[in-house]
Amino acid sequence: MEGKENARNRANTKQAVFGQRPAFGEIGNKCISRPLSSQISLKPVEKPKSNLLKPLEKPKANLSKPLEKSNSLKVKKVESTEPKPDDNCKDDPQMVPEYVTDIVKNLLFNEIECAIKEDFLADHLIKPNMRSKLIDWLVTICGTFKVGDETFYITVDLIDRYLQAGNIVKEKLQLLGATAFYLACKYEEIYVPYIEDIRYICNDIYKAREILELERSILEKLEFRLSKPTKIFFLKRYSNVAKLSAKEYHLSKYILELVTLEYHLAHVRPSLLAAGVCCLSMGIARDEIDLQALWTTSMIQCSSYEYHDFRPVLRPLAHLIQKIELCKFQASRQKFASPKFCKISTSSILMAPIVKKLIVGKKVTSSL
Amino acid sequence: MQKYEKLEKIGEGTYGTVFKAKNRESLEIVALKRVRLDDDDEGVPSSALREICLLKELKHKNIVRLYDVLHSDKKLTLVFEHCDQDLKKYFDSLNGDIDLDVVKSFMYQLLRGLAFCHSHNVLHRDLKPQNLLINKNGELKLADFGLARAFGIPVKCYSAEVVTLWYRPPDVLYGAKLYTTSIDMWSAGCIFAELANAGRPLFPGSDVDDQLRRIFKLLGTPTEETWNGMTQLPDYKPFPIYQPNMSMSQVVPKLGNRGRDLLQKLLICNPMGRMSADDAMAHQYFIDLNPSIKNDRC
Repeated sequence: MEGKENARNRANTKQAVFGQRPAFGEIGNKCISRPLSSQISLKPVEKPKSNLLKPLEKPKANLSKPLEKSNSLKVKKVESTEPKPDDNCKDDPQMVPEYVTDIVKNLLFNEIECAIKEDFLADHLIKPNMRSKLIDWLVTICGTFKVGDETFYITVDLIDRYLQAGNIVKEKLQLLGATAFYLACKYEEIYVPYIEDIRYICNDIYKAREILELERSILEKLEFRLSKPTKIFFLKRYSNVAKLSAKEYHLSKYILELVTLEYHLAHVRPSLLAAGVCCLSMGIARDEIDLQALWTTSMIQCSSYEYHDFRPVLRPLAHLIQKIELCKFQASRQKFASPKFCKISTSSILMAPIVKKLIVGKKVTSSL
Repeated sequence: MQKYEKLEKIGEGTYGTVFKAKNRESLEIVALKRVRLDDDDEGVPSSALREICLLKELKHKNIVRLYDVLHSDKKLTLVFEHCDQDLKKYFDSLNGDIDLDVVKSFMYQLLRGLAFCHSHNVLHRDLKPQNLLINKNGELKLADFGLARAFGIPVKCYSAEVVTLWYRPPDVLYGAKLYTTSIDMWSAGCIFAELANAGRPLFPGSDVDDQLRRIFKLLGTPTEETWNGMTQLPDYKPFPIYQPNMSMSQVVPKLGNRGRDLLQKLLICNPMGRMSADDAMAHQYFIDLNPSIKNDRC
């Protein structure tokens, strides 16, 4: 059979793991402005509650119905004269303009299933700071293997969902991290590391058999449901519609990566966090205090969130930015200090007025 | 395997062997796809992992249903709904004659399954008659998602080593790694012509060069004007400028005007110009499609 993407091409694997990785399509900047069309845009299925920091409730009956029943969706005609979310990329096939609205709609349904519960580590042998340490390590591992953003976010998601499904001893936490990474690579990457590489990154403290046993256990507990939308999927989508500059986009990716370290944000809907991160990044980079003004009709349409929906996550995000300097988990900060990311993590703009404004007042619970 | 009684071997998938089997309790006939795990010690192969994960989320009448997964340390068994045959075998039974209503019905169902995949950010990447299953009720289902993958937006670069040669689009033949839903639409076009000709493949090339030559001889060699960026593709090489030497009426003599128009819109060398599955379903060709097929949802 011709061409198997993951035909375990041994010769290629090493090279791909340690060689250069093409960085295409990180951000679609090839969008061409197009005149307004009479396109119909999707309104939120059901307006997300503004208190989404609370545990995710079971989806409402009409949210959990099969997707084809599109009559349960409220489709609202746009009256505004503002550009529609996808006007700028009608001619860019990379943006999949024919399907992007449906895809996002379907993923918004999908993310409600397999959600992470608030405080899922309560009564767990694994403590929030141990989780943060593991994720900090995985940031480095993902850098070493030069895997894509998606792979990192899938890894974190698999770890949280597995921990939520049951207890493990802390000696096995790194094994869980490494095995989740291995699975995420198999799902997402063109080239997959050898199991020997996975053992190596754990200093050979685990046997191959242990990795394979845990792989099976993860797949069984999560019922093979790896196709779950990630925070980065939504951030890419929103940042494209918001037409973030390269620097703004790096900033938003940096903040989103910091979010993964924070246990107290692990249960928040990925799409909602991505919306908050996108909006805050614009506020920081554009030195704008009025974040609501940045969240245009276009953004509301493409994300299905109004500003007040994600407002509760903004304060924790600002705290995260401030706290990271003094915290011991520095992998993301170091990563984003490279010129490739406009040295965004060491930039003075991080202490923008909007960040200072948000951190004044109430203390925020944090695992860092 | 206690739960299922193996009846006969049906074939080989992208990975693993497929058997027809019977559920001992319900007596239901199923297809088992068995993947041995002890061949290499790398655990679940990516192709099997993706097929399972993607099919878990793709529940549609025109996509083969994955009922269950049995996972032991020695093997992985995927339990699928059983279909009577694949489209390739169906062609072999035709003796060169096919009912045009069947062509229309199969094509519509193929497009509907594909539109569902694409709107759930999944590319199939290996559409061909062997991977389309049909049953006695005239239903068609996409199967073998061993090469399929989920895609993000914007789409990233993926492997260029996808799609069986005869059904591979010119951009991928030229080494394009940045492709999107249009990759499956080319294959759909090739299958449409093959359906209309009762199983005669449209472009049975012997290698990449021969494949491209066959395509360009029929459709005319594209130029930078008709396909912006073609000469920058990784494996681009120039071909003689062929003028289309046959009209669509010679290529698919039995297909009417509307069908030929649809075929032409799918077989566009420039991926940007290729028609999408949704648009194809709305094409005039399907205006007289049997309503029971059109309204038969998911």
